[in-house]
Formats: sequence, structure tokens, C-alpha cells
Amino acid sequence: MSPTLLTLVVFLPALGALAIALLLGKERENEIKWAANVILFVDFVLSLLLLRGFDFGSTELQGVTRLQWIPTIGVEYFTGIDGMSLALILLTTLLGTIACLSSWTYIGTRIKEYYVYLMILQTGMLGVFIAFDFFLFYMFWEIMLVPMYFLIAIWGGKNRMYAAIKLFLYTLAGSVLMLVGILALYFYNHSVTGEWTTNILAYYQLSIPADLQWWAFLGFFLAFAIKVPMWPFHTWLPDAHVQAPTAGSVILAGVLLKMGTYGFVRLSLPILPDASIQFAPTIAILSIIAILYGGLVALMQKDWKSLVAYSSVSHMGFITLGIFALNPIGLQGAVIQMLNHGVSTSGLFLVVGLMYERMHTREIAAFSGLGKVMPVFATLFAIMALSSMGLPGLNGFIGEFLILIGSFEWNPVYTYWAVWGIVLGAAYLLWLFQRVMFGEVKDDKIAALNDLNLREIVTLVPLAVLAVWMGLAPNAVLKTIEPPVNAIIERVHPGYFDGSDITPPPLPSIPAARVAADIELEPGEEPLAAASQVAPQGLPEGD
Amino acid sequence: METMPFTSSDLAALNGEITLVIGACVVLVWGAFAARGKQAGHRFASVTLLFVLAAMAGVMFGLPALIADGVTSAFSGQLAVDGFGGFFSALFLVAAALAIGASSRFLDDEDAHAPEYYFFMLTSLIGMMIMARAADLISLFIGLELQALSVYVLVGYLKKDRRSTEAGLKYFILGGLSSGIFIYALSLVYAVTGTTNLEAIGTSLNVPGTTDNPILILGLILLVASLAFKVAAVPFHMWAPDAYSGAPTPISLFISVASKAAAFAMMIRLLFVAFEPMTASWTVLLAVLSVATMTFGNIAAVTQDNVKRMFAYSSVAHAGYALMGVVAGTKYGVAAAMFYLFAYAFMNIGAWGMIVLFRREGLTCDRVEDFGGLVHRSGWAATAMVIFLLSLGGIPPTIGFLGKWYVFGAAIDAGYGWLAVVGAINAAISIFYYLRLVKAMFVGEVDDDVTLVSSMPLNVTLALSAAVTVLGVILAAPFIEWVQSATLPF
Repeated sequence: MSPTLLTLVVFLPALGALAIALLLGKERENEIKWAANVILFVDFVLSLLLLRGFDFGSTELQGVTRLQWIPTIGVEYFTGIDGMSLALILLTTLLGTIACLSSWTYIGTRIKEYYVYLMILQTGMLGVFIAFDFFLFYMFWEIMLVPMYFLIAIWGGKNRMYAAIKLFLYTLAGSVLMLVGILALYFYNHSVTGEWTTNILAYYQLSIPADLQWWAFLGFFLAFAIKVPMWPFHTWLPDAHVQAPTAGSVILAGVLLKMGTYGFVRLSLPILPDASIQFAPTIAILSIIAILYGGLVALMQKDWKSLVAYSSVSHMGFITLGIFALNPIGLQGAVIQMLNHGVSTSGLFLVVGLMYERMHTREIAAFSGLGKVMPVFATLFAIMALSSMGLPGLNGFIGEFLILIGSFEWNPVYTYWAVWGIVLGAAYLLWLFQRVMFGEVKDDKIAALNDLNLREIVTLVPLAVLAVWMGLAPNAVLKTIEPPVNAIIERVHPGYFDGSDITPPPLPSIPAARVAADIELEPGEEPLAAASQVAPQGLPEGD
Repeated sequence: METMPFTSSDLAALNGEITLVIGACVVLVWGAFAARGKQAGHRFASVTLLFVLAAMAGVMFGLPALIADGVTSAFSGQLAVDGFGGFFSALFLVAAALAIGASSRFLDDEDAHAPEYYFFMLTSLIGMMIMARAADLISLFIGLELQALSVYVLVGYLKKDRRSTEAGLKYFILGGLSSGIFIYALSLVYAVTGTTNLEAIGTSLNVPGTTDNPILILGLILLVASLAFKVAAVPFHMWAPDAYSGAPTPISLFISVASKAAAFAMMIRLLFVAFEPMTASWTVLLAVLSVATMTFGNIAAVTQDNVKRMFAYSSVAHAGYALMGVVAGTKYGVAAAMFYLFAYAFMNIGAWGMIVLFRREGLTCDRVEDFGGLVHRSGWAATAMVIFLLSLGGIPPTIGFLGKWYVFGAAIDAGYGWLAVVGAINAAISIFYYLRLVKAMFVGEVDDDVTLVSSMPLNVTLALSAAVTVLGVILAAPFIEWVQSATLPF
């Protein structure tokens, strides 16, 4: 697969945003909507092309671009993907397209700005999954915050300012501490190897002393735990979700939260393996608290959307539990659950959004008997809810099952408590379904509701299909993520696979730098190419 | 004694300053004869800009040629000829050029007399450039006072405006006090070492036992205190919020960048050349100052409703970040501080320059609400302001992020990991008040009494600042190489 295609997939939305910002006047609302939807859909199709020629059995990075950026401090523009990145990129482009389409009538004001932010957000998120340079990674990681802030602050609900600023500050506070952690590793690497580099893969090969690992892990942990969000760092999440417009919630739940777990898997485990083992029991306990707390609080919610938001806290708890079980099954389950959660929770947020657009309320008690009035809606909602609660045959089951096996292998006590999360999940979702779908049609307002139109069906059907497909044929996804997962486990527990018939593949090696001239550049990329011809050189030594 | 007090290479080393002196004379004499009028301001701005750019050419091309010829000092060791001085001189000149862009229409709107304004701007520039290049306590102090006295006048320049007059007076009294402390500290140092040459001081302090001298230690403490005053470090920052918020906005813009950078240049050269043997002592003092400065600056800024005061406190906080590079006490740290000041110059000039845009009933206005709904009036202005604010907050993809990366890195490299953590938390705090402005611009209501007064020079200033703030990180390689090659040789 070609690096150009990968670069294009990531930067197309931003270029599209730029084009819309510069070329289309804000009164041309329909054209802006069409342009944004078409661009994001094309981006999704392009991302599917990444599958062509992708080597699923390899852990090596594919579609690599490596360009010098700031040579004197070792910063590169270094991008590429492995199986895990690929899966998350596909999820992101799909959810981006759906979020964009779901906004067609939901967003009624300041259309142009809205689509510009949405598309910049898309590039920021995709960038995180392809960046293999700390500097670049951190750039993408932070860029996302700004458009997300605007999406909530401008198009959110009543308390939107509070929610937006809380999201920004919480995430930023974690991120800057991660930055300190990154810098600590950066200088450690220089002191050992004598090289200035921010190449993430170079750090996979270091053996870092225990105390530095501990501190660096703490910095990374705060950034990722806030993003996931793990209990007790979750308090920004319900606010953000409840206030955000539907598309914001879809992106937030579907992709943004995955950044945290992706960070754990991509950075914390392979770079700081000893500290990961050391922190694992603590994180497991926090995860279980999140699972149970999230579930119990979701059970108590009167607001439809905050119920889904708290269910996210609970489900993300499963993912962190699976990651820190630190065995192949748990980790595979966690990665696949990242995708599952993206599919099902985004679906649930879409469902809430559709009802909110019709009724202008999210009070669960305001609804009843929807099933009679809106049969198509009821069916799709049922699939999403069942997938979210982990019904066998649908996607959620696979992830949760693998995570529970993985955690059982580690410590059955954790599994015992986590299982209650599944029970709770079934309880709050089924109870929600029962309250809004069954019963008498309460009033004329509900009786007069229209069932979903074609556009709305189109936003939900892909997710429903994915939920079924990933539930019935999980192997397609599992085989993509298995090699990277095994390599990471071997790094954390060297010798883990001894005596089994699995030979763990190596962690990705550092690909040779390509000459800039080999690569066709996007317009936005030219500056990097310009800086790329300078040969790397060392910094002056500190005293 | 030589027959000639100086040589031609001495004069060549001063070509930038000499150009500015000529410019200052031209502006002053012409100003005495030129008729006052609306267009006069623009003409004086253009002439001043011309001289600033000419001086810039002298610094960028003349100085490297001298350095390549092996010249290291001029005027019998009074001035250093090095990349460090050149870097800062260029920075002051760029800041001045951008400030002129912001001043041009502003002076007409305020009905202020232009010639003396630009005259003092030029003399303060000369002072700053000498501060950055002085290799001797005497020339250092002359540069400092030339800069300071010019700036006192500029801060109080709007004589009909009570806030401006008050700010000028406060700044003058406190600045005079700190200059007194500064020269007292220098006299103590001279008493112990018997020389005014910075390198000679460094050599004599290398003699074992000298650094234990209580007079010298008192001298160092007083010196650090007065330097802290000049860079507006807490607790010596009291003058800064009043001076910055009372001064004419283009002057706030100019001094919060250029005067601060000049003070840093002076501080770095003094501490790293003369007091190199006592690094362990002053790094501790500066570490405490750095923490106090960024923490207090940011927390105080959170509570402000007036944008100028908010940025004044934010400027205080940024001195704290730049101090982290100095605290590191390493060559890497100096490069980091230099890059930070470079980054800070553009984002801060942009942010202050934006305030010049706003007027209510013909008067400057600077409340947060005055920025309300800016995005509906000018998408460009709002976007530029968001870029400046994100950069000030250290959010990528802006040059401010690279600056933070660099200074945090310098602190960690030197074993001040905890300082980097404090800095990181501060960066998060600062976002809180920067976002208040973003919120006003994007969510707030438009106030019809507020008008935007743009002009071509101001737009150029804003556009250039925004361009450097964004492109500075994408095209960072040459800038980083520049600061690394221009760090002090020691």
C-alpha cells in the first residue's frame, strides 16, 4: 500500500476544510453540506483502499513516510500504520462520515464553521493513529481539542460553555504531563544512545531504568486515563456528552475516547513495560470501579444521553481492564472492544440525537410507546442496544468475552467483579428500551412522530451491519490485530509465548528514511519536504 | 595608549546602532519642522520603519561578516561581537517593526504627536541592542538606562490619558529604584573583583575562595533581584501590570516583548559569562523565581476582566517559562530561552496588536466583552487571534508549543524535572483565561458600539505575526539552528 494514499486519507479532510473555508461563502449552506459529506465519504472510501495490499500477518509499519523535519532536535515527520492503526483509521473515517451526515438537519446555525471544525477534527484524530514520532503524535493529539471545543461551545446545549472548557482543561492537563514524560524519555534516550530522536519506535528498543519508567508512566497514565476516561478522571465526560451536539458525541465516544486506550497500547506498554506491570493491579481496580460505578450511575439516569454517557465509562473500564491483563487474549479483546464500543456507543448516541431532534427533550420519562410509532427506529435501536450490552452473536460479546477470559487468566477476582458490569449493562439498556419503546403511546406528540427517513437510516445501518458482522465473523478483525498484540505482550512479558506454538513477531522496526523526492506530496506538506534535505546533526552538549 | 580611540571594525560592529542614531536624529529634527496633521503620523512611521529595516540589514549581514573575520569584541572589550547579540538585536528590530505597524494609525486616532514617539522608540532600541551586546558593566548599564528612560516616556506618552500618565510615573519610580539596586550590586561585584569586564569577572571568580565572599554573595543576590525586576519576575513584577495596561497599546506590545527580551539577554550574558563560577547559586534563586512568576502570573491573569491586564499578567507568566531555560544553566537551556523569547515575540505582538483594533466611541476599549462575536465581524481576525491565544497557551500546531517543548526539555535535561511539571500545570491553567477570549469571540454577542479600526500597517503586523506563529513550527528547522548557533559561547 502506498504512503501517498495514507497521507491523503489523513489530510484530505483538513484540505477540504480549508477549501470550504476559503471558497464557499457562509450563505451557501447546501453546497457546504454537500461538499463536507462528499469529502468525508470519499475519505472513507479511500481509507478502504488501504486494505488493498495490506499485509495482515506483519507487525512492521506499512505505508511509511519518513521525512526530516527539525533535524537538530531529531524531530521527523514519520507516519505509517500497522493492523491496529488501520482498524482504528477505518473506524474513524466511517464514524466521521456518519457524524457528518447525521448533522444535516440537526445543525441549523453557523453551518460553514461547523463543517470546517468537524473536518479539521477528523484530520487531527486520523493523524494520531498514523504518527510514529512523539512530536507529531503530540501535535495531532492536541489539535483535536480545539475543534472539539468549538463543536461543544457553539452548538452544544444549555451548559455548553462549562462542558467545553471542562473537556479542554481536563484533557490538556493530562496532555501536558504526558509531554513532560515524553521529554524525560527523550533526554534519557539521548544520554544512552547519544542521539536526539523523537522516533517512537526507537523507544521500543530502550531498557529504561525502573524509576524513570515509573515517573514517565505516571505522566502518560494521566493523559490517557483522562482521555479514556478512567474513574476518577471521568467527570468531564458526562458533561461533554450531554452538552455536545449529536455528531460531537458520536466522535467523542467513537474515536476520541479510543485515543486514551490506543495510547496505553501503543506507548505505555511497549515503551514502559516494567512500569506497566507495576501499575497493572492499580489500573485493574480503577477499571473495575469504573465498570461498576458507570453501570450503577447509568441505571439511575433520567436523561437518555447521560445514560449512554455513563455506559461509556463502564465499557471503557472493560477495555482498560483487558489492556492491563497484559496477556494476548485480554489485549486482543481490549483492542476489538475499542472498535466495538466505537460502533455501538456511537450508534446509541445517534439514536438519542434522532429523538432529541424530534422531541427536543432527552428526558426518558417523556417517551413511551415509540416502538409502535417508529418500527424502523425501534429495530435499529434494539440492535445497537443489544450490541452494546454484549449479546452473543453481536460484536460487544466478542470483546467483553475475550477481556473476561484474559482477566481471568490474570486474576479471577477481577473477572468476578467485572462480570457484574455486564449484568448492569443489560439492566440499564433493557430498562431504557422498555421505558421508551414499550407501553402506551402517551400523547399526540409521540403519536405524530415520523419514523426515520432515508438519510437517518443510512447513518445507522452501517453501524448495525458492522455490529452483526463483527459479532459473527470476528476473525477478520482479530487476525489484523493479533500480530501487533503478540509482539507487545512479548515485550512486556519476555518469554510469555515459550512453550506455546505461537512465535511472537518482533515489534515494528524502524524503517529506513525515504528520500523526499520519492514521495508525492500533498500541498499542505511542502514545508516538511523543504526541511527534509538537511542532514541530521547533534545538539550542543549540555554542561 | 593607542592614538585612535577606536578602529574601523569597531564602527562596523556598531553599524546597526549608528543607523538608528541617524534615524533618531532625522525623526527628531524633521518633527520639529513638519506640520502636524493626519497624514504626518504615517510619514513618520514609514521613515522610522525604513531606518529599522536598514539597521536590521546591518545586523543580519554586517555582523556575521565581522564574526567570520574573527572579530570577537569592539571598543576595547566594551561590546561583544557575537551571534548572541546579533540574534537579540534582530529580535528587537523585528519587534519594533511590528510595533510601528501597530502604532501608525493608533497615534492619529489618539491625536498624539508622532515624531517624539518614534524618536524614543529608536533610542530605546539602541539601548536594548547595547544591553544585549555589552561585555562590560559600564556599557551594560548605559544601554540599560538608555532603554529604560526612553521606555518610561513612551509608557506615559498619552498625556491626556490618566492611566497612561500614572503608568509612566509608576514605571519610572520603580524602574529608577531597581536601576539603583542594580548599580549598587555592580559596585559590590567591582569591589570584590576589581574589574568591570564580564569575562575578567568570570576569571577572577574562578580563583578558589572568591565565591564565598559575603560581599559578592550580597552583590549576586541584589543583582538577581534587579534583573528579576527588569524581566518582571514575581515578586518584582509589581510595575508590570500597571505599566503594560496603562501604556499606549502599541507600546505595551513593544515593551512586553522587546524590553523583556533585552532584560533576558542582559541577564543571560551577566550570569553565564561573569557569574559562571557561581552557577549553582543563581540557578536555585532563579528556579524559585521561575515557579513564583509563572504560577502567580497565570493565577492573577485568570481573575482579570480587562484584556490588557490579562495579557499583562500573561506576559509576567511567560517570563517564568523563559526563566526555565536560564535556570537549566546549560547551553541547551540558553538556546531554549532564546527560542522561547523568539516565539513569544510573535504570538504576544499578535495578541496585543489585536487589542489595537477595538475602539468604542473613539476610545480604546479592552474588556473581554468587547471581543464579543468577533468571528461574525471578521473571520480572519478571529482566526488569527485564536492562533495567538493557542500559541500563548502552548497548544500545537503553533510556535508557542515548540517553545514550551524546548524550555521544558531544557529544565528536564538539567535535572529540574519538577520545574517542568510546574510549568506544564501552569500551561494548563493559562488556557483557562485564553479560552475566555476565544469564548467571547466565538460564542459572545456582538456589541454594536464597538468598532474595528483596521489599517494596512496593523493588518500587516497581525498577518506577519500569525504567519510566523503557525509556520514557525512547520518550518522550524532554520530557526532552531539559528538559536543553537547563537547561544553564548562558554
